[in-house]
Amino acid sequence: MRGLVLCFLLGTMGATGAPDKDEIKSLPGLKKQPSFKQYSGYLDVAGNKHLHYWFVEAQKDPASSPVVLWLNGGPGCSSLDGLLTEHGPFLIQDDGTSLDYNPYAWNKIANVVYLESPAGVGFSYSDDKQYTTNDTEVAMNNYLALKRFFQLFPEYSKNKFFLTGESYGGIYIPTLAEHVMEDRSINLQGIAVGNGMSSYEMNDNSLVYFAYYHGLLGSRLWTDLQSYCCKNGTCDFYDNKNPKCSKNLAEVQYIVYQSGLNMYNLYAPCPGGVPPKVRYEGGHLVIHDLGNHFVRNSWTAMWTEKLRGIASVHESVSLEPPCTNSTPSTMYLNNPYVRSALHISPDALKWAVCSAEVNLNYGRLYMDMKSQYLKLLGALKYRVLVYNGDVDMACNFLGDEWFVESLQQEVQVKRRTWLYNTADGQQVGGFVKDFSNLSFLTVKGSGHMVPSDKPAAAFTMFSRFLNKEPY
Amino acid sequence: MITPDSQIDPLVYDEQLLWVGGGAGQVNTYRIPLLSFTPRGSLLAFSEARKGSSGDIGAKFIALRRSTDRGATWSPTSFIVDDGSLADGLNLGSVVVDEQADTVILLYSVCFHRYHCSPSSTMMVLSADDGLTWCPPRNLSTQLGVKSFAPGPGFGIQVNATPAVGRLVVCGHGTLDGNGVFCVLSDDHGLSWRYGAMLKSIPYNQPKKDLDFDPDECQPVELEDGSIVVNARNQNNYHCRCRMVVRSTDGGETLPLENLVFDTTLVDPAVAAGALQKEGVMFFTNPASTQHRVNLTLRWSLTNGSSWEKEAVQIWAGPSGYSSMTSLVGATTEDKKYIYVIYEKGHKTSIEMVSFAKIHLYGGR
Repeated sequence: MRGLVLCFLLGTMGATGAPDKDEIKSLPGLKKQPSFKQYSGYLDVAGNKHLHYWFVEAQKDPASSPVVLWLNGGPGCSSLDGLLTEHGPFLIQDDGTSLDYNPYAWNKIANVVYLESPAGVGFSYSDDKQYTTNDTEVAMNNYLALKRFFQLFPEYSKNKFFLTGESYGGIYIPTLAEHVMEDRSINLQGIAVGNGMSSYEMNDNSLVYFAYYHGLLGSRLWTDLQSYCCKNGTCDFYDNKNPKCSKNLAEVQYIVYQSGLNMYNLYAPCPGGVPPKVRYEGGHLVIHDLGNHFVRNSWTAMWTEKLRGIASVHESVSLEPPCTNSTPSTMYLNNPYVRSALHISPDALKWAVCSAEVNLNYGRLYMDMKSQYLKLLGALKYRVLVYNGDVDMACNFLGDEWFVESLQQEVQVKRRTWLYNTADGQQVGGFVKDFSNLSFLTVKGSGHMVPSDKPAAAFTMFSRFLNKEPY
Repeated sequence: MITPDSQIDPLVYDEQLLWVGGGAGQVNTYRIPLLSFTPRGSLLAFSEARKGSSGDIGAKFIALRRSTDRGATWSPTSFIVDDGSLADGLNLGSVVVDEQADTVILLYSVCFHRYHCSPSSTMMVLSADDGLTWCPPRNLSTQLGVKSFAPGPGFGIQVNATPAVGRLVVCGHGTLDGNGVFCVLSDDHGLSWRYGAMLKSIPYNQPKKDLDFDPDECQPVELEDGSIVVNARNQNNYHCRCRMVVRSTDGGETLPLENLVFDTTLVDPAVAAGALQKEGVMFFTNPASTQHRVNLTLRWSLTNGSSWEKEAVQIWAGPSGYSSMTSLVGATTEDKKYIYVIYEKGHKTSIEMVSFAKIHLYGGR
């Protein structure tokens, strides 16, 4: 009898489907409410953590469309940046109040889950307000959040499922995939990583070449780098103990990250003008360094220590990625009507694009993702896309190209251009090289946030990735 | 004394899959395989990489793989032409080697079916470095007009006999109404092209019925006497469920009706077949069946196709479709021993994969 009751209860649980309480009934800023359904709420994990998700169903035929998880990077930055400024169904406008529909929204062909992770980022929070975390804990909690998501939306648990992300998502996504691929109840088909951090070493080493050959370093600096950082034609710009090398690399870093160039898109202006390295806004400290570059360099280490010191004595610190304008998103998401429409908990913090607390206390446990990729590819059933806007300097294309080559997978189709349709006929979207179940693809002229910079090309790429079509 | 010809005892010596649908580059289907030697002794395999479906229309790449060791190993696939997302994209095609100029030329069509597009174009790409790189596609419509012309599928020939020594002859077929065998000729190494010989369908430029005269996809070979024999698909089974064979004795200028024969030994389900002339022996491959694309079979003739040897070698018993052949023309013993076949095959359907078979002509001895 008890068993019967239990079955009955489980049965009804399975049939309830999408949680009504999370449904976004009316979203401020839209001229017209969408025809697709969307949900916002919390995925509770690990006892005390509440990760905020925003789920937009596919605009056409959601039941048979794939489910895609999207994670922005940081570490410590919010995936709602991806929703509101990259590939969401509507994009935030400069006034910080209105949303315009996005003709290249990824939810035109997929059900997309935007997850704010880890706790402390965006609207995600923890009951104990402890926001020190690390790569393995994040991977596990993201996995638990995903499980919770499929409990809330069991009707999607059989759909094809993809993990996608950007930047530090290059660490989040493969480490999360390691958990998901062990779970038979999730129909994982593949992962896509855009301008991802795949290897600190390759990212640093390639950046110096990228900078020199894009005209950013002069001949004196280049000669000194060659003299002090290289031996027999091999350069170590990543973990070089020669102080003269470190000093020259500090110069490279200054040029690339602090001279006023937009590190996320070499050829884009810096919104708001050239910023200072740190900025005080009435007792409030604003920093711009996400701490992903030249982590082994002694000058960088010194600076990071100093930054932590300064941060610890300030009441409030905020982290804004350099040369990005998150003011409209921040305004919008902190509007009380928006928070209410999104069912944001009163315990959640004020929304910010990145969390300084999460970022500065983050434990980086992986220096590269080689074993994670090899494990995925070794399963012989997942497709992997590594794509890079080719004028980004945060995670430059060359470093990821080297990383993909270092996996030593069998070449299936030689490097070639790929095409997409525009009003001006077919155009080259970039280059692509196919390996077994693995493609490396560049998006020509795009910076770090590919769907923002090249929305049509990005949508074409995304569609071909999901549908297993040639790029 | 035994002549070498009488010793012919073909053996499938090595076989490997060059393309599998859904494989390299997430391509839906690889079809219409072509195979060619190069003057420098390499082998080039081409196919249509049909992006989204297995259908004849739709967007495609031209896929290429190259072997420099007589087919033992192959380069990864290159997509040498990308038609983007055309509704009626490219179709292969005929590869012709210009041994005098040391170039390889590939002719193909775009918008052949005139589906959501017009007009049709005959296109050409050329490689001057043994197939490693290819010049951008050139549209030959200004020379050939806009009649739908589908070269091959197979290879074209360079004429060895006077008076047209060095001429490139590429044969193919037209549209369903305006169908027939048509050959295009170039006497200046592919710079300019004109229409030469043709064998038109009956009724011409009118809708066809079953059993009408409708010569279609075809493969030319040059005999030692300088005549060109074109082995053609008999689309509507006119007279027989077998191949049509027609001969040009003027270097591809004409294909007189009186030179047409129906080869009842070469039973055929209406398909593109392979033909090759090597050192006095003619070889022929097709799915040897009157009804179905199964049973890919190699036959050979010591009489220039007038008769065929009784023994035939089955290369694949199951579903199999288009095929094409080549051989290396070097002076080495090794190059005398082998011919190479590329063909469509599968287990459930004939278009699951493209296979390369190396055939030892002397029983592996």
